[in-house]
This record gives sequence, C-alpha cells and structure tokens, in this order.
Amino acid sequence: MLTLLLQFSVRHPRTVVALALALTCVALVFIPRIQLRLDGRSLIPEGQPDFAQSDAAASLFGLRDLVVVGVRPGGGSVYNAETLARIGRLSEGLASVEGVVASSVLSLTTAPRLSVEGGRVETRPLLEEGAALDEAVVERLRRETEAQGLDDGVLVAPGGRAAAVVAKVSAGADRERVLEGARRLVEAESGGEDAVYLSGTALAQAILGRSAARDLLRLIPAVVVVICLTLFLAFRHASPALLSLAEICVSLTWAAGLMGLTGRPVFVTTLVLPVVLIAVGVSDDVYALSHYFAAARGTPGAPAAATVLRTFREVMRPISLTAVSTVVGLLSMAASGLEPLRVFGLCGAATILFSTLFTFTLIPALLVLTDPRPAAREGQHGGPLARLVMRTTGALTARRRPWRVLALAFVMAGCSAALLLRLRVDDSWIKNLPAASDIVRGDRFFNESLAGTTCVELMFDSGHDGGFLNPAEFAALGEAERTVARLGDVGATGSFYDDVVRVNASLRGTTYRAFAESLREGGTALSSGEIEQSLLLLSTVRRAPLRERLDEGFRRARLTVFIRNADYGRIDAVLRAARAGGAGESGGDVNHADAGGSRAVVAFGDGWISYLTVRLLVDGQVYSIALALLTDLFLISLLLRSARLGLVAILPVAFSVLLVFGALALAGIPLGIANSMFAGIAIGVGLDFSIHLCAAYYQGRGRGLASHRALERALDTTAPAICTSAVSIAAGFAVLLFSEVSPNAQLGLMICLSLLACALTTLVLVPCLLTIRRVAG
Amino acid sequence: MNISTILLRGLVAVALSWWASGCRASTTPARSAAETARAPATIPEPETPSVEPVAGDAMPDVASLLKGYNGRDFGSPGWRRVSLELLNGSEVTRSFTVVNLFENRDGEVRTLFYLERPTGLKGTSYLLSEQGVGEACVRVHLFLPAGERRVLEVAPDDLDEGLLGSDFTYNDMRTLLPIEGYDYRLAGQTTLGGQPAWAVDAVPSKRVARGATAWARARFYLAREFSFMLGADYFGREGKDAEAARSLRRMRVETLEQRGGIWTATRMRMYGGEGRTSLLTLGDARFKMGESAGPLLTPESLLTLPEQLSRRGLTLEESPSPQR
Repeated sequence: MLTLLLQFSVRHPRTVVALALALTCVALVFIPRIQLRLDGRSLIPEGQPDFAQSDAAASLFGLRDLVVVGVRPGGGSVYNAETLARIGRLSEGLASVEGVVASSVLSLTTAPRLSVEGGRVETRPLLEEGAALDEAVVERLRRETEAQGLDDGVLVAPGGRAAAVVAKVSAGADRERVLEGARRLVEAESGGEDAVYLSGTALAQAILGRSAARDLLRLIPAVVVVICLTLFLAFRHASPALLSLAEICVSLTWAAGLMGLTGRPVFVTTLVLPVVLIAVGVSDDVYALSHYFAAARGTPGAPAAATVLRTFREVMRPISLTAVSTVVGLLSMAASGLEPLRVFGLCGAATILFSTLFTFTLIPALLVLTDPRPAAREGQHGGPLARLVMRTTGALTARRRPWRVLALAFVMAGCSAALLLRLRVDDSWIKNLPAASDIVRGDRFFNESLAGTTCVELMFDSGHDGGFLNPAEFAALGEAERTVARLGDVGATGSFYDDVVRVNASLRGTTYRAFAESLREGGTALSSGEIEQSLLLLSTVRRAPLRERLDEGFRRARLTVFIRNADYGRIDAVLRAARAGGAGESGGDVNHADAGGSRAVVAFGDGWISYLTVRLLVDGQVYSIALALLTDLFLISLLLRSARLGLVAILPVAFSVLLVFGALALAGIPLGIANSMFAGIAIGVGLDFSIHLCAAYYQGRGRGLASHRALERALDTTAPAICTSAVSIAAGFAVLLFSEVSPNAQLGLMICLSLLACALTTLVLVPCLLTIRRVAG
Repeated sequence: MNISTILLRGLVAVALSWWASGCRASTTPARSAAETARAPATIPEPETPSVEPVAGDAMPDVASLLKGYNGRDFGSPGWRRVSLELLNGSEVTRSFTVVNLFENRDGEVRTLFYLERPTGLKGTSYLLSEQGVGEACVRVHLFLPAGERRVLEVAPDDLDEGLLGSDFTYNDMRTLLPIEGYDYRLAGQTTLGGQPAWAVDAVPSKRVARGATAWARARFYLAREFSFMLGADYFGREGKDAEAARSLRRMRVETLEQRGGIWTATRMRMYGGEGRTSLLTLGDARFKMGESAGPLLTPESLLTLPEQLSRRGLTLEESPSPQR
C-alpha cells in the first residue's frame, strides 16, 4: 500500500502536493471548533464508573467551583469596623463579578444566622447592607460568631485572626473574566492595613490556561527554529529541515482538524501537544532523508525520482515499524482513565499516522519537485558524535567488556526500581502555578490561617427517604463528622448536622460548642421532631445552604471536609476515616457501597477529583507502559521473526524510562498528569532507535553476514541517524524547559533525558546484548 | 442460493443492524447521571400580561383601589385547609397540609397556620397579625412543638423569607396590602387568567418597609370586577443582579371560585425561579363561621392549639380530607 502511494507520489508530485494542500484547507475549517476545557471535572471521562455516583452527588447538592478571597487583619483581629467594612465591600464586589453567582457569596457580613434573643428569632445577616458598624454591632457580631461556632476557619479563623469571602462560579462562566474581576477587586482593597488574598481552583485553572496558551505561541516558533538548526547542522543542507517541518505542519493541521471535527477538547496539559508532536514527527523524516541524502551524495547525477523511490523503499519497513511503535506508545495513553492523556494519545497517534503517510507521499513529492542536491562530503557520513559513539561501542563490545556493561546496567536498573517505591504521584492546579503567583500566595494563606482550599465532599446515604430525621442516623452523621475532624490535616468540617445543632443551641440559649459537646457525651439527644423542626426553620432562610447539605427527601446528607495542604495521602486518610466513621457496620467502601445498604458513602468534589486523578494516573501508567511494551515486543518480534531480538529492541527504552522514573523519585518531583506523558512519548520515540539498529542487524544477518559483521554494518548505517534524531528531538523538547507551566517544563526535561538515555543505551546496550547472546536473525 | 451465501447474507444483516443500532445510540448523546439528576421536567412559564396604560376618567384612584381591596369581604371569621406542595419542575419534593383560621377584628386581621402534615411537624403553628396601617403593620409568631415548646416572634426583617421553605413568604400570606411605607402607582389595565385586572406597582419607600421586603418593586394584579388579587410579580434591585432585577418571584392564581359568596383561590402558584414552584391548593373552606375564632388567634394560645382545634373539629382526622 505504502509502496503504491510512494510510486504515485513520485510520478504525480504536483497532484499529491495540491491534494495535501486542499485537504489541509478543509482541516483548517474545523480547528476553531476545538474547545479549551479548564474545569477539573473535565479531566475524568463521563463514563468513568467511579465517577457516576460522584456526578450525581455533585449535581444533587449543586456543587460549583469556588472563588475565595482572604483577609489578614492588620490589627490582628477582623472584629473591627474597618476590616468588617472591607469584608462587606469585598462581599458586595465579588457578587458583582461577572461569572460569580451573586446570591452565593458567603462571608461574615452575608452569612445567614439563626439567633434567638428575647423570644425573637432572627435569620438575616447582622451586617446587611447599610447597617451601621458601631462598636456594639462589632462586639455582637463577634459574640454571635463565636457562640454559633462559625469561627471554625471556613469564614473566620478562631480569634478572628483571618477571614474569608467565598463565592460560587457559575457553570460555564468565563474563568478568565472571573479572574480579572476578582483581581481588580482585591487590588482595590489592598491599600489599607489589612492584607487581601485571592485563591481558588477555578482561578488557578484560568491562569494555567492563559500560561499554556502563551506557551503555545512562544514555544512553537522556538521548537521550529531549534529543529531547523539541528537538522541543518546534521545534513548541512536546508531542505531536510524545511521538508520535514512542512510535513509536520500539514500532519498537525490534519490532526487538529480531526479534533475539531470529532469534538475533542484540549486541556491545559495537552496544549503543548503541537510542540511535542513537531519534535516527535521529525524522527521518521530524519531516517528517510538521511538515507536519501546519503544516496544522493553517492550518485550525484542520478534523477531525484529514482533515488527517492529506491531510498524510501529501503526505509519503508523500519519506518513503518517505528511509526507503529510510536503510535502504540501514544495509544497506550488512551488506555488511561484520564481524559487529557486519552486526548493526547489519540490525537498524537493520529498525527503520527498522518506524518508517516506524508513521509511516503508528501516528502517524496516535494523531493521530486525541489530536487535538492547535497554537496559531496569527504569520508564517512555521520557527525563527530556518531563517530565517537561508534568507537565507544566498538570498545565496549570487545572481549569480556559486554558483561561489565550489562552488570552496570543491571545495578542501575535495580537502583531505579528501588527508588520507584519512593516516587510520589500528585497533581494539583494550584501547585502547578509559579510560586510567586498571587493565587499560590493566597492558597498558602488559606492553608496556614484558615481551613484550607481543598474540599473533599462526602455524601452519606441513609438508604431511605426521611432517613436523617431518624435520631440514630443523625447521630451517626455527627459521629462520622467528628471522626474525620479529628484528623490533623483537616481544617474544618461542615454538614447539616452542625446547622441543626446550631439552631437547637440557639433555641436553648446555649453555645454551639457546649451543645455539641453535650450531644457527643450523651447528655442531650435530639428527637426526630426537633431535627425536622430545625430543618423547617433552616429552610425558611433563603441564603442558608440547607439544600446544598441535605437532599429534599432527607435521605442523603453532604459532609464537606476542608483539608490543609491537601495531597493524595491526606485525602486518602479522610476517605478512610469517613469509611470507618460513616459506613458503620455496612462496611461499604467509599463510592463502592451498596446503594441499597445503610450509610453508603459517596465521595465527590475537587478533592475527590484530585484523588481519583492520581489513582487513575498510577493505574494508567502501570497499564499503559506494560501495554505499550508488550504490544511493541509482540510486533517487533513478529516483524523481525525473533522474540529474542524483539526483547533486545525493547530493553533500552524500558531501561531509560525506568532510569527517568528513578531520577524523578530522587529529585522529589511528583508524577502528575502533564509530566506522566513522558513515558508514552519516550517509548514511542525511543523505541525507534533500537528498531532501526535491530532491523539493520536483522537485514545484515538475512544477507548471510556473520553476527559481528552484521552488527558493525548495522551500527555503521544507523548510528549517525540515531544520534541526529536523538539530538534534534531532544533539542526540540528542550524548548519546553522554557514553559511557564512547570509540569510542561518537567515533561520536556524528562523526555530529553529519556531520549538521550535511550539513544545511548541503544548504541551501547543493544550491541553488548547482541555480542553476548549472538542473537540469530 | 447455497448455504454459504445464506450465512454470508445473514452475517451482513446482523452486522448492518448492529452498526445501525450503534449509529442510533451515538446520534443521541448519552446523558450522564449528573445531567439526569439535574434536569427536572419543566413546567410552563407563568402568564405575563401586557399592561396598557389608562388615562382620564377611566383611571381609578389607586388609594381607593387599595382601600377597596383591603376592605373586601374575605369571609371572616373563616377556616380553610390547604395543601402546599414544593415542586422542582413537575416533581413534588415536599408537601404540607395546613389548617388556616382567620378573623378580622376591628381592622386587625389575624391568620393562623397550623401544620397537620407531615406528621413530624404536626402542631407547628404560625400566627400572622396584620393591620392595614402603621409601619410595623405585621407580626408573626411561631410555635415549635418539639423540644423547648416555645413561642417565638419572627423578626420583622425576616418576613420575606420562605414560608416552610417554599417560594411563598410570610408576607405573601397577608390578607391586606400594607399601605404605610410603600408608594403605590397604577401601572395600567390588563387581563390575567381571563379576568380583567388593574396592575398596581408598589415600591417600599421607608426604611422599615425596605427592611421587611426582599423586593425592590412589586406589581399586583387586582381584579377589576371584584376585590381579589389575581397575581403578583416581585422584582429585585436594579443594577445589582440583572437576573434578579427582572423577576424574583411571580404569583399566579390559577383557579378561583365563589364559596358562599366569598371569592377564594382554589389553586395558587408561586414561581421561584430555576424551575422551582410552590403550589397552594384549597381543600375545605368555611366562611363567616358563627363562632369567633378570636380565642385561638393569640400568641399564648399557640401552646394549646391542637386540643382547641380538635374541639372545633378542625383536625385532619375529624374533618373531610383535602380534595384536589
């Protein structure tokens, strides 16, 4: 098939170029349909089984992303007229920000309260618009806040050391605008004695989206320049770089058009896809063009069409094989449970397929049309690096040395495997921002002074309508809340249990904490009637978030857990505690409990997304790396007709990926969504090196050469291309080091390291293995 | 036709039908659990009457309109039983049965709301006392039967909060329109629910009135041919929230009838936004009862209401069930 396409392209180059251009124009039409997804929920596919119940719970309780503004009072306490006025202005201002749900703004000045004084029940916020802020009002606010236990770190810290204004972001709101509006507000209030902070996942997402888009504009030209330069230096001719980039450009346009056509979104973590694919796509072209240029130098007078046909036919088999291995590497990401990795894998695979198609159609057509004539070069082809590598390989494969090389490799692999146990897997929108970002500063403030910025939401299902009117179920919810709250990293907890306790404490003229303690110790108990009565009172307060905490049938209750400096381990501890405290005797696992059983617990919200992301990432990595390596092993063994040769081809890339994982663990850098993509790319691209070497060795053996002669010849023909390819692709990826998004910079570094390690390992380890085992073709 | 051709055709048919079923499935986007839970069946939007301005002799004096409305015969002393349903779309999320007792004594109207259902809340009572005049012209007392068994007064600033968690507020339960503290203006004439009506706009003009209402402007639709409120629209403050400024809530009397010469709504719906509505449906009603309900309509009597109501035959067990 490829041969026919190659022949057609050589015979009808203009038709091929015109057709490619026409289809590229069609693809361009669909590109504007690509949407950028910035919300955390979009990371996990709709059909994810662990998430079906979470989605339903999030919808039931009207869960939305939050914007949080923090105030650190200059005088040490927020209970003064100036700071409270500032909180009031921030609350009103936040309500006016486009994209913020105006009625959702909660702060000391807007929070509903249910106080009973002198036989009168009041629910309106004490400091509603226009209320005078005299000393008596300030003192009353402090007294009521403390009496009702509202100084738990959510809206105000104990002792009034800090305060927060919290608001929901509307579904589908433009997060950029929310960010701009919130920043303007914070800036306007930052002049006084109080320090004002801004944070929230929604805002971090907007900043990352903006940074990633800026990256795209800066890094694409940079990667193009770097690759052009390295290819020019390698070939001493402008054509290979220009032809290769033209081909990649068309492939990317087609892949982007396909994304638009199929409605695939892009994510912050996949915005670097073009940069990555430009670097990856060059790989096959380097092999094909180096063959062509070597042949053209050897036969200066030969017509371009004939040289193209001959040289491209020769590399068709290894290039097809390397394309398959790259596609397998990228598609292995599609096996992940995370949407960005899936999109990256699918679109990357499509780009490589297009790129391979164009390697045998568009590039031959362009070669025939442009007929580039390289100047004849003295001596052996390949740069000084290739010659150095070949000399080193020759020395290492000499008598007895291969064993030492293998022993060293084995020790290194063992150390990396041991380090792997220390590898941390974590991902967070906010942690991905630069440390100097205002959102990161805000996040630090909320984690140090208030209850934290990450929430794990838990839905407790009593199993039947009206279940939480039952005093036993109600008490069990309280017990679960206390169990979770006892964990050291939990900043605060909140559920309708607290609201009901507050109401009853007010009705009895006591404080929230005293009444809660009395309930805990069994000194008091609430009857079903009292619980229902309290809910009736709470339901009359429009701003009270009762519907966000208890469903209308009183069957399902939500418990919000604020975690300070949340990571996988801390969230896991909360989920375990919830399981122990909430699921009770039913013993149901979180999100796996029998829906019909009593007190099933379903986790949802930001914290759960982040937890599940890590879990899916780990599962996906193990599964996709294993899948890619096994698939590649099978395909290479089949095509080279030798399982041993297949295994030899796979080893360098497996070894280099293991080394990079070890280095990651050693450096204490967590594996996240963005940097985890390195494994798929490294396997896809890095495997090309050993495939070319092994295929050349296999061909040599097939022509009847002795093993050592076949190896020498294989190294002679492929080592320069492997070096050129590794250096040019690594240089392309090195551009990512200048990314504003740190995981993308890490991704660039990790790919560079793994590709260079893989090229080196291929040129050292494969010859050693072939020398020792005398692997037969 | 040989057996292999038949088998081949069969396979092709199976493959085509499988492909077609896949196509059908893929053309209809699968609804996530979240979407299903989020999307209640919708109910029709409330009727939006177009108001025509009136001028000259046809234009009535707004003060006399309000006086006529507040002075109407509403069957005092009377009794009725209503069901209140809280709906999300067309799904009933909560329902209550309320016994209502009211009396107009020397211009002061007192209305008692006694909860019969749900059983867990039985005995919970509200007493609404209103006067047509005076700034603080309405007071609400609440009795909670469980626990402390206390009678509490609801703060005047909270009277526009949701009654029983519904879209109706304490203020919506008033029999009289408040006069002091509000500016009224005749907006024009219209037709609502097939009835000719006057559209009267109200704006709270004094601090107390502003504090007691969550709305910045209201439009009341008063029947032209008899004294009755057919509907009301409540609007938020301009410039703060564009959506709220358009409409906070809308009340529509869906059906009404005369019982013993007294006009009464038999179905009344409050639209609260986001697909939520609250529906009041009249069950039984008795107007112009011979015996005064006065002794029951005091804050102190709320403590012993169940027994007193029972003696009057007004409990659910002893009187006809509400009819829909």
